[in-house]
Amino acid sequence: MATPGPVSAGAARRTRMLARRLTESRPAMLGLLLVLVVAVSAAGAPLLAPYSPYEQDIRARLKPPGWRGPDGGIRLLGTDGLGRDVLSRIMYGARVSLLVALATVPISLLLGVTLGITAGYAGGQVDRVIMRLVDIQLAIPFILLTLAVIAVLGPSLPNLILTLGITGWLTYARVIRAETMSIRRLEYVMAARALGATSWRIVTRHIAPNVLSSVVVLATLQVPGIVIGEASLSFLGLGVQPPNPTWGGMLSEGRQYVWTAWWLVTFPGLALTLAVLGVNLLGDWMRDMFDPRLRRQLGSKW
Amino acid sequence: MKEYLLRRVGYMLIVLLGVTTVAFLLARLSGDPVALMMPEVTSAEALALLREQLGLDQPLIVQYTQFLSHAARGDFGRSYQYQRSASEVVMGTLAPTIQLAVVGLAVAVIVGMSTGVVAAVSKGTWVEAIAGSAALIGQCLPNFWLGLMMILFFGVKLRWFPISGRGGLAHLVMPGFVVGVPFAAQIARMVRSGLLDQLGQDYVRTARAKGLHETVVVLKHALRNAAIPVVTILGLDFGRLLGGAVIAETMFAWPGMGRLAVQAVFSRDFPVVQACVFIMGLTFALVNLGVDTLYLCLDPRIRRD
Repeated sequence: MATPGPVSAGAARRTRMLARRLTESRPAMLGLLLVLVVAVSAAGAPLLAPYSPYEQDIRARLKPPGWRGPDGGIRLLGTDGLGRDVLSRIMYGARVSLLVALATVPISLLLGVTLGITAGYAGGQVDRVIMRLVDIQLAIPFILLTLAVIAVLGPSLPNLILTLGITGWLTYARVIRAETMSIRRLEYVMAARALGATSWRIVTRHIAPNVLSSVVVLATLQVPGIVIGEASLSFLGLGVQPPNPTWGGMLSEGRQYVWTAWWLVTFPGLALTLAVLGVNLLGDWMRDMFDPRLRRQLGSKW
Repeated sequence: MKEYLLRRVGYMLIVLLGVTTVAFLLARLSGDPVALMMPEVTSAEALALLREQLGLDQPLIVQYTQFLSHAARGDFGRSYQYQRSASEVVMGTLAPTIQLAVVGLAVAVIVGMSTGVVAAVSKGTWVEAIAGSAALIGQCLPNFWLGLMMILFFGVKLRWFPISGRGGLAHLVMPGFVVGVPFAAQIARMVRSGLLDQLGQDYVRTARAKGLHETVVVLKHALRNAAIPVVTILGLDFGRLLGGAVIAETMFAWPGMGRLAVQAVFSRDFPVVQACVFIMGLTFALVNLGVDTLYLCLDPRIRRD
């Protein structure tokens, strides 16, 4: 086998350095832990969940956490109105959140980065039009916009992903546009243009690789919004439909029992908060690590 | 400066036009309201007649131009659900919406700023750790979960506050918090880091050297400068405020515009949907305009551009 060239050796070294910096930061490690818990729950739910999330048992309905059923099985987080185990439903709910996040990000990313680079590189009228589109979408509250679109398309998982994906392009576009504009003015880019490089070549060889790190950070920071967006829409009945378990849907179903069964609204919400917290911690660490410039554009470091 | 403002107003109008068009299109695409309005056994001819009466059978372009010309005069048509002028229905929710927005904003600013200031001045101590964690968690809390937990604690267990409907100040507390807390968290983070930046600057050192009391230095001088980006964020995030109000209004049965809009989307009440989105867009644009102007006042350096 040939000796690894300088590029790949450097990449391996950088990765190890990055991993070490990660372990040094306590918030980031906490974030990583939370995200891993969610990911493992989601991936391993069929194996790890104690009960089926769909199995109803009327004799076991609305039991508090820690209840031991006649079969000896323990419902760690209690049961819901139809006797289904809350813990298992939460684990399966993680699958939905993870799936929606993983599917939505590429859509928003592609749309947002393309429009951002176009706006930043072309400038002029094109830039103005795109920025106007951003402002128009910003003026309509997110909930209302996604609500209306889902009302048009019909509530289902693919429609949810499509809607969240298409409405999520804004931050990418703005940030990448700003970065493109500053890269465009760099001397070596101007030199490339003077040498006759086509716009396509400049974008793919100079601009795109340089915005990559920002894109990764933006993608990570978009995930909490997606998770909460899916949960909000499911809460309003427009996301994943019952009996499929989703954290937002569980909160919506648990609402009617808030007087009698506190665990139905507490645990799914806790799962949501912790998942979002985990991704936020990781995303913050990434942002501070990769690009201090980005800090000012996205909001200051805590 | 006047030219700047005029440009901003022109821009605002374009954005407003875009917003109303989007509302128009989304409303029309969401389905046939006529089918929802009448009992199921209505004949096809009766449905067609109703459609004609409401002007829904005409080509989209015609409907759009009619809509625009009416909207320019403030007429958004008749609500299908309430059988009154749509603008009237929407304006009826204006007062409760503003009340909730004001309370939410107050909560956000008061809680957020104090947390941020406390966190900044007590850097390195456990107080800072707690304030910091609180702000971080506050930003991660889904607002409808916060609402549910508040209902659980303050409504059910402690019975301190009423959990639905409109009434006195007591009715505003929980919805106000649900709207305000996510912003409070964001403001706290911004104030904390902005204040830390300012406290490292020369003018603060001068102020302290002059012998000014620390409280004056922090609150009167540093905070003013740290507050500038907060004001910008408040303007930009106003849309989120309106959105957060949607959830809070739905959960606590607060008769605001957000709840009205959601119900109108579900019942395909086009005129109301359009009127709501228009008003929201207008408010958003006006708030941003106001923020820009405020910015000019707060930071004299910008005036010279």
